[in-house]
Amino acid sequence: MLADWILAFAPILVILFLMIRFQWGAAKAGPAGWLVAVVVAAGRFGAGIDLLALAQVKALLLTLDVLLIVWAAFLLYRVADEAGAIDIIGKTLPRLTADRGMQALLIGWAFASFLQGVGGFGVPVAVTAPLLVGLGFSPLAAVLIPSLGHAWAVTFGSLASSFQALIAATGLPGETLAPASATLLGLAGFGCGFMVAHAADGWKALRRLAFPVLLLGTLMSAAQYGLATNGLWNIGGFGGGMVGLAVGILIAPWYRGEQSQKSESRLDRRSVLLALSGYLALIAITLLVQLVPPIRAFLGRFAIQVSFPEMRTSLGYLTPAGYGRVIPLFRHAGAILGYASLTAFLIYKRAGLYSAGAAQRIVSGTIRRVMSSSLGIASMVAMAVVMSHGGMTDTLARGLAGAVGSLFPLASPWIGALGAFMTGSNTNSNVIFAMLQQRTAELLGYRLPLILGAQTTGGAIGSVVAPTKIIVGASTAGMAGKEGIVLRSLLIYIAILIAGVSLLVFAFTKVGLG
Amino acid sequence: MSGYKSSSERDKFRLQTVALSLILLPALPLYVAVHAGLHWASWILMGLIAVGMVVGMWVS
Repeated sequence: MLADWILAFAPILVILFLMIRFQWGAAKAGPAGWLVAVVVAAGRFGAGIDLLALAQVKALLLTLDVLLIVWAAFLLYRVADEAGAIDIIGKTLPRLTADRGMQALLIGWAFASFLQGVGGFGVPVAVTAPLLVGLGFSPLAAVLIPSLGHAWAVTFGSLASSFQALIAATGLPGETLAPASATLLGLAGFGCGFMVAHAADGWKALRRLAFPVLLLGTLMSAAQYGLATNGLWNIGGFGGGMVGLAVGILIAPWYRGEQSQKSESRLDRRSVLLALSGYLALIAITLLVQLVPPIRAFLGRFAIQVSFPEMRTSLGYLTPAGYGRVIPLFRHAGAILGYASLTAFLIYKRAGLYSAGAAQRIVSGTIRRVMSSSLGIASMVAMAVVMSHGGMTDTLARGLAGAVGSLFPLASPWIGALGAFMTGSNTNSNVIFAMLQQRTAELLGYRLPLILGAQTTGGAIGSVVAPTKIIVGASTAGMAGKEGIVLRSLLIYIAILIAGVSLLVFAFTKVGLG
Repeated sequence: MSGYKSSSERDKFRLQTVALSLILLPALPLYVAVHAGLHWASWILMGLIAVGMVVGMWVS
């Protein structure tokens, strides 16, 4: 029934309306969406108090699963930033080449992807846009380049918080979801590279820089794929970016440009290595925890595990009994990030990189920065779980399946992108739309990992044009108040990228991969 | 917490912390309330979560 479908869509519609029309943030619009979801679930879809209450408990587990990573990822970033590590890396890169296109690839693609891998939250654009302006790029190009460059790394970036949200929302194992997601994101990575080259130096750069784009694209995508599909998805984006950065530094001097610089010899390799040491610690700890069975087993012994009874609405929609999200406290990606943050802090402290009061600034800066996004995530996760348990997601999926039918794979990345555009993040998009995409794919008989890969790839790319990111990017490049110009320019590139992903997904389904 | 640009920023942070706590913490006793069949407790705790949502919406 159309009325039911519209009512089921109402919470999402309310969020969209508030965020786009009134420019509310996720922390403000999310609670409104939850309130509408609860009223509709209880009033129209027959969700009783017990069902709503247990949905809230399930939502708490899913929220913790995502928030632990978000909090710890930003803590690690703050540990490095307070030590000046990000600044050192950023200032080193432009010395390697005077070729504008190559500078853009190195800073706006490889370095921005690395920053997305370790930080996210708009950090890639905020850090690299001023660097590019300083190198003589126009403010518009300085925003476009890193915005496009880091898009492919968003899902497995921020220590894979968006991917963790996809796992949490769908209940599917990461091992099942990772191959398709990493493949689509990796392929999108090539598009990002070519678009960075184009935004930096026009059409002529595409041919001139084809080799570094293909080389770096292949290596970064392969690194991300290899890590993500071997259970190391929390360092997938970070690993990809790091490989790109390392190889980019090696090949950058081949593209010296017209004003060849001889400053390479002035590079302080020890400072750079020290700056990177915090992140090298993360790699070492992750490998240790994930690949050494006794350590993995020991840390996995302490887990939060809650069982839930069967839940049924008065209209008969059934959620089977089972466990909620299991959180292995000491083996969780958030815990691993915590260990890495502590190790990095000790390394930087021993090297004398901190001034007095650094620890307090790191902790307070982290808490201040994550509070708003935590509220947004908590409320939107709760909304999505209420919708799912109340049968609203199922109603939406049935309507969508009936409306688009065999064209669903084409629409799937656009849905993810729309969610990210509306909510400002790939994580939120996955929380809101992953269950809907999953249910629709089930009804239409498509392979779930491919459709969910399309959801998160669309979400990753779409997050780049989210108003909040545009505002951050524009303000750091000196384009405050000109966000409309940035948005218009970015939309063209982003639409081409998503259309490409759409066609890929459609093609995969036609050749039997979906 | 130090390092705030203004007192309104500090107040906003505090209220957001209260809102997040109200959204997350009642879930623990909710589980117990549902299993014990205490519907009145479930209503109160769901009410607290709703208050947290409203505070979050208002302050953000």
